[in-house]
Amino acid sequence: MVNNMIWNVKSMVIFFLKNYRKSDAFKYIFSLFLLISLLMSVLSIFFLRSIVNEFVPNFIQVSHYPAPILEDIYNFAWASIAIYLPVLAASFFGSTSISSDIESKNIYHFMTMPVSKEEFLLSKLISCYIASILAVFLFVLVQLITYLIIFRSLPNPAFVNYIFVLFLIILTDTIGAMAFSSIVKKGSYSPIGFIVVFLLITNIISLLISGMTTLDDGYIITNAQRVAYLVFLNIDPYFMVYTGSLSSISVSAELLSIYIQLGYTAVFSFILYVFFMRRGEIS
Amino acid sequence: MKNLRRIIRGTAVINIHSLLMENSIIGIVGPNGSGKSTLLKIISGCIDDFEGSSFVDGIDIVENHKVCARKIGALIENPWLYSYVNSYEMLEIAYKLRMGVPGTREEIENNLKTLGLFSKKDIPLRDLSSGEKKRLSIGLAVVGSPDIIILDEPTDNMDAKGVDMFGKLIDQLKSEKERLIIVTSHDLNIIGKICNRIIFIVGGEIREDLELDGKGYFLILQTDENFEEESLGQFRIERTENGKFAAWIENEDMLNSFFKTISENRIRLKNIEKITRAELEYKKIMRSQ
Repeated sequence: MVNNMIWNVKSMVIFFLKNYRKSDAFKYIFSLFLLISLLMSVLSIFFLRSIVNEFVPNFIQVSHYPAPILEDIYNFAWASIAIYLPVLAASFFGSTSISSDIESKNIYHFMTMPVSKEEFLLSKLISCYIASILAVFLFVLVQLITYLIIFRSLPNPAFVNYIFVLFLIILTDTIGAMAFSSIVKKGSYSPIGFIVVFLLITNIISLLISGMTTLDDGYIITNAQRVAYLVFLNIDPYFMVYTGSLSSISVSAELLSIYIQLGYTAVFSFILYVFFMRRGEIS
Repeated sequence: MKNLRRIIRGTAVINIHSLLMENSIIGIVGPNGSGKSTLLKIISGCIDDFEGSSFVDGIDIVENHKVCARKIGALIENPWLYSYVNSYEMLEIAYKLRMGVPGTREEIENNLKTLGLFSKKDIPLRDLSSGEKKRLSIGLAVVGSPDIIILDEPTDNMDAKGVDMFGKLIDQLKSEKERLIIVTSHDLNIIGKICNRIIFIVGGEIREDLELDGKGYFLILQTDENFEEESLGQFRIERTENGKFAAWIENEDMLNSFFKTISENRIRLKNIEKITRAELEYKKIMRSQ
């Protein structure tokens, strides 16, 4: 029973990944992410010091900055971009994954075979997740290579934390996109629809969480940039910056970021499961 | 199937008291929206939100979907297929899921040859014609030679080559083993040719369940006003719409004898048309609506 389930899921994941790999969406998203990461790389290699001047007050600007400051700025800049990419990848791969299969009737190929709906759903989720990871990690790979070029050393071990959080964000966004896909009827409108709905929902929740956790009337004004990140991506950007001197973050704030993501993941998973199982065309 | 009922927005799209299908080729015929595809989805286990029960060899398909699905191969509606994989990869996944083991290269390539798609096995499916995709979809339904094969509109979008291939495939499936093949089509000519039994569905209900005997056909005759049915007394004659008559012809000898009688009785024919029994029955049912 379990072996059969594993076999079915594995077979379908490989099949869906083959379809993704050859798809236009995959080529576009890979090209886009490669372009962004190469641009970031060029900026970092040639203009990191001038960028640092933007961040460091005039009175302490010097001709040679200590490595930790450069590293902080470098990490902050890359992480700021990285947290947007999972939403894009998920919108490309996840937001059409269910609706387009139902719209195209392709789902009936699987529903008429010895495959359960749960196996189909799980296979779709895993394949979308892997496709999104591959796309986002192209960016991370270029980030790592650029780091080695600039600093001639391996990054801080906290880089692993950064990757872990990125994995979590990709999972949340992928499940969110698929949940959206299980509700909408038309696959063609899904990518842009998902981004709009996702940002709207997460904005509102993030603002509420920010308000509840700070209890400070002036919070939004004094922490404008931080709130902006929370608003858009539900993750504290200072956690993504894994060295501490410029932008340290408390353990509780780190955990809050993770809890927010896990909360979204649980809610999106529930919506995805319920709506997919009750979808009229297949239930 | 027992007491099948599926209600969507207050309307019963399927309402069947009982239906038994045994090894034969059964055609399901009805106008658009009559419930044909819904019935096929229930039989194949694609949907489960219906009242009543559907059994495969005595096993409830909703409660034991996987067990039943191993015995069923189905083409439901008109799937677009996945755009970027090729026909080999599509058949490969069908083998893996239905058989529980990967098909050998030889098996898959033989299937592609039967479907007339071997030369296009590496081409992404989005570059195949709709007829070629339909052929592949039929091929997917028959992977693993299941006991029950369900084909929803299998000849839609097919050219003459595709229809010919379909005819040969049905012959091959019949010769392999005793099995149940269920086909829906708007082409009553094809249904009349290949099926032993035809079920007419209108408004989700069975209107007629017809066993087809022999390979005969009807000639629809439009005659002058003086025509008397008794003049063709030795033939089976039925009155149809607009004063036309239908004469049942079973074989070549009967056809010759029929025209000889027409000639001897000096019956003036204004028009003559050949139709299958299925087409005639369908016309009757649609007229009675």
